Amino acid sequence: MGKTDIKKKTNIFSRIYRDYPMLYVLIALMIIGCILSPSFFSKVNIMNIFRQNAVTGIVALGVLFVVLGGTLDMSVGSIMSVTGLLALMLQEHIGVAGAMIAAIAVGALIGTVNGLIISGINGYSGESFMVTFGMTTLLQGVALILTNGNMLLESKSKFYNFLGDGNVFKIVPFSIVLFFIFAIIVGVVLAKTKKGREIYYMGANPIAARLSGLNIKRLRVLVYVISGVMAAIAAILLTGRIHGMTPTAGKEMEFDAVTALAVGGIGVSGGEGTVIHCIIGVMIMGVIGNIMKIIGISSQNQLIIKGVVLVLAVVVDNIKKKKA
Amino acid sequence: MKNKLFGIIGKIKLILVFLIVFIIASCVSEYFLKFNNMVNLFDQVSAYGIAACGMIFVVIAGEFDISVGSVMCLASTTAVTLLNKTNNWLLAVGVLLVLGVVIGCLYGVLILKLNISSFIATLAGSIFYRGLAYLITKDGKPIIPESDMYGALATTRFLKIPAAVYVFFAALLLVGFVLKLTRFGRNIYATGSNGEAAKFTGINIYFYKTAAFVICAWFSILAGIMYSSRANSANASVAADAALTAMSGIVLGGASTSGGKGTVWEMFLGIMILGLLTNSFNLMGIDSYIQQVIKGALLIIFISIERYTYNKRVSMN
Repeated sequence: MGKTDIKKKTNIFSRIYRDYPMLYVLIALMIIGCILSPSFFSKVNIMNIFRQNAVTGIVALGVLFVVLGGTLDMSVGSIMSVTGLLALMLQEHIGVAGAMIAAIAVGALIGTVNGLIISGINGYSGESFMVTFGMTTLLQGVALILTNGNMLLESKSKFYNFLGDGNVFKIVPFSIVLFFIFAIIVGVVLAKTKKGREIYYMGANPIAARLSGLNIKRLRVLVYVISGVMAAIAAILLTGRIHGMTPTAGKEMEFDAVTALAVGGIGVSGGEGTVIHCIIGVMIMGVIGNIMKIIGISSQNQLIIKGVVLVLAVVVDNIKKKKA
Repeated sequence: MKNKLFGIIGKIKLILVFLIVFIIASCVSEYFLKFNNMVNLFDQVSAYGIAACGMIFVVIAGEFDISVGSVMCLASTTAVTLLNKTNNWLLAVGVLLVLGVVIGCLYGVLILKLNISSFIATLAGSIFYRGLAYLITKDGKPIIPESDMYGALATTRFLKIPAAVYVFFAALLLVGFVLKLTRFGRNIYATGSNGEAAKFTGINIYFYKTAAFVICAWFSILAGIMYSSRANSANASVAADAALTAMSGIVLGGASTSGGKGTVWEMFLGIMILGLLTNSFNLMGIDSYIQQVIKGALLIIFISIERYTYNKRVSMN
């Protein structure tokens, strides 16, 4: 008698609610979008949402590793600015491919520095927040020095433009395809590899992880390197999309990435969450942004809504945790 | 005994660093020691310094607040808009006081009742309040106060020194008094150094942390008024580095990011050291972008040193 009761409770809908409650929020938002505009579900609009948010998505994938490990990375935006600018400026000297490799290498280098500092001071959420906050100011200054304050650097490379703006199968933006490929890789790494499990362990219970012999220092550096590399890749895509790069391009990216993760249901305290949460979060932010554009809310007013969304997402996440 | 030794060495180190920076600064530029430059130095430092006076309550209580700059902008745009429409100063002051209470209590609820970490909550707040400030300015254009008295608030000179500097020193004295000599201040320290233990001695952590955020909001509002008064315009896009600068000064002054430590006078020395550096960089003509790089690096260095010595001290005990 007991067994059949339990079987009733775990149908697929309640399982989705238990693991990915925000999926229902995403669906609700899409319905709202359809109500507000008949062309919401048109191919053009959906592809637009993809194109606008692929960059944020790739950054979020990188920050996902850091957050799962229990810390924060508030410097991804300015890592984007610096690496994106480098990728552009080095094109004439070492070619397009060389510039891309150099940019990614710099992203990895910055990530290494972040990771070394934060692991050196035994930092968790608070300290990592301040350190990467300082780093973002520092890198922002570097980006401004690189461009001498000029606001836009033009991109002449057709290859970049394809990366950021081009389509495969005629309408699907290449950038979103890249995002999903990365997402699959990230999902496999997190769920199936030893390193992935170690990162979860470090985030969930750092003291136990250290005592059980995990090399926390190396793991910490690894997650920040991943975050830096993803930021660099995202920067290259962004360069392609806007046909250039500004020193302040990444300014709100750190906020957007963390909000996307929080909205998707990933706790900021670490140790919990999957790549699916990340994807859902990015999609929700994308749909909200699209809806706000349809309604005609100015980009400055959108800031207010984004702040509220972040708080709501974290509150809901905390309430869920309390219930469990 | 050992803790006291650390404390004294810490204070001496700070004064030493201050003197060294001061001496280097006066060697580097002949304009440094001139009266006008000194006055300028204090004037520059006073805006964020006033904000730091409020922020130190939050840090001692063991939390963060990075929305300081956004609250400054919200305060100035609100005040100037109100004054331009009604010319009722009493109303403006009242609204600002209520605003501070609302901002502080909102953080209190979010952080203590809903268990959101303080940097996420104040990060969201920094975006939200700046957005509100933009909303008030209608299209991002700075609002010019119509009354001449507004601009005079921070700039009227007594004995050649602008009023803003006097306000800064008054804030320092007030905050120093409250923290050191009142029970309220002692309880803030208790809340920060060991929240659980404090609860057992009957201290209401919720009240004290919320009060800390309210005080921080009030001082940020005051700082915003001073800032906009000096510029004679209320802008929604300024003071983006307020939280960074104030935090750097507080941490340099020896406050602990885990709370329970820090005094106003050490904070003052920390702020002054940073102000001296900025002042001499300006006199030397160093690019403002390079200054930004240095400021970011300094925050990282200060936090790292503070955390490193904290960890050492904890493991020693």
